[in-house]
Amino acid sequence: MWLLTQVDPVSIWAVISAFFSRVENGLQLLLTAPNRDILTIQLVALAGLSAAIGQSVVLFANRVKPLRFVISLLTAMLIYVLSFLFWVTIVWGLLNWGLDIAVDWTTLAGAVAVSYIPLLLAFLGFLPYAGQPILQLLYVISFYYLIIMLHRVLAVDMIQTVAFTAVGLVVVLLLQATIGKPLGWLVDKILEMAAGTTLKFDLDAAIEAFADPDGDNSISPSTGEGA
Amino acid sequence: MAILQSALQVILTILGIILFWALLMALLSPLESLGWWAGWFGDKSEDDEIKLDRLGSQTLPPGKHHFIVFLTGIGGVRQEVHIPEERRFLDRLAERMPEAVIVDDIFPYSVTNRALTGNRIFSWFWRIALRSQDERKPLGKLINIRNVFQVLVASDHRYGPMYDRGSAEIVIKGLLRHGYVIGSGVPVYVIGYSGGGQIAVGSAAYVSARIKAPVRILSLAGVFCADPGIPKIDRIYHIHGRIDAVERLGRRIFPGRWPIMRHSTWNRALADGQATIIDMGDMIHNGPGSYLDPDSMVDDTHSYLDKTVETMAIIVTGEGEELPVPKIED
Repeated sequence: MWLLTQVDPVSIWAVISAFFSRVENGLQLLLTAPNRDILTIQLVALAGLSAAIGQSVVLFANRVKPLRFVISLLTAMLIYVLSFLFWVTIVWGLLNWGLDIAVDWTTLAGAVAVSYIPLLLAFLGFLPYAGQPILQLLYVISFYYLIIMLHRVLAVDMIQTVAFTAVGLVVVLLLQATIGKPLGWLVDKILEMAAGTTLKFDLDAAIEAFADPDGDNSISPSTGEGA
Repeated sequence: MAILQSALQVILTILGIILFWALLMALLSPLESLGWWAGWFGDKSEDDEIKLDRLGSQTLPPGKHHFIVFLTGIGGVRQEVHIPEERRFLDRLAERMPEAVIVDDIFPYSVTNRALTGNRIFSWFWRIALRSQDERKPLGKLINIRNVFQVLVASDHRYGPMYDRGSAEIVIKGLLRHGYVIGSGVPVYVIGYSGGGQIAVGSAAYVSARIKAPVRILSLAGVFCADPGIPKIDRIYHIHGRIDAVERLGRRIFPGRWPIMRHSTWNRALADGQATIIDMGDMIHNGPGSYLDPDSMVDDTHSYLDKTVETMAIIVTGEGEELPVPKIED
């Protein structure tokens, strides 16, 4: 049953609804779908867009104009997908060559994508006051499901799965702090191009930059163009 | 049984619609202040005819020594105070302190000081809600819910700095409209009633810096968080009743107000004597038995409203009669 492949393409909503009925059902449906690669990308893209909306306060704080705002959200979504592909490839390489666990790339990507399903609600991060804790909770839930999904597809016991996930996380963090730095810089530059302005990712810094452009203790934002 | 099931289905559908609507309203609530900050709606607010930087040499209105800004509770819909209890309170306050200028034309739940019934896409809806509020119908509560979300926006550490700057600007413009002279050093008292407490506390530091004078908060059963701007406020007087459930809720939902959070800005202000809590006895938040009730009596001659007005007058003028606090017998 687990390995049976569906004949007809599966919709993303079917995967989401299967996930919410029973987590494993969502994974099974995605992995057995003939269009699983597209589904994987769709899930990650939607989660990325939702997360970008949830954290869009940065764009507002930087006074990004409405059209640029939309372009920025779409760009953030694209970067989210590319980051996903990049990091899944890194982890896949680590598993296959570092830990000698044979796993198909698309299976791994599909499993990780299913763990992103809770992040489809990341737009709730935009809610006032409760938004930030909700967003953090969603990331914790997503991480929890990542372990569950990996446990299913790696066919190792839970302790090993947790250990592999921890090792994977450490490697990803290490890479982010090394080769990820220039990539991060590149990502920032792409986001700034999309926003059409220099972005300050620290909210307070962004607000201060606009509130007090000439050091004259202004309160409301400057009417000048850009930062 | 089938009828019961259908009824349950209808009830659940209605509840679902209400929940969806509330979620949508909450999600959209930061847009006004964030859009204002981002310049999406132009750089003008409704009272933008007063430019903060175009200040000529002025003198204070003759015979006026105190400036009091009133920020309405969450039932407000426009700049003019339209809730009868609040209007009566402000009239009594003006009567008690004729030397005070009372700025009472600010709508604190809009950073552009734009009335809900003003130039808005959904102004027609808010006019209906206002009519319902006047007739004490449930639909009128939508105004309160909408304004509660604005209080949450102001208390959010991400959105608050933008919202507070907008509020500060409308407070300053209100002061200027009423003859305040920037640089005169005259302290400003801001009464934040209920949810207006958050707007008062959040904006005070920016107002103070701009007018170059102390800003003192008179939180009348204010609901507010441990705002990062609190250390820059001259004094905070938190006036509250012992049986006020709404004010108590404010103390519960904001962790910085919990006594165990000893290093929060609010608790530090209390410890340093910068903030003072004034016990009003057994008063509730609104309606009969509330701070603004002219019919419930604290003694033979003074009402709850008198007690509230007198308490504020003592703080502002340093003179007045200490009235007893009401106690409801079991």
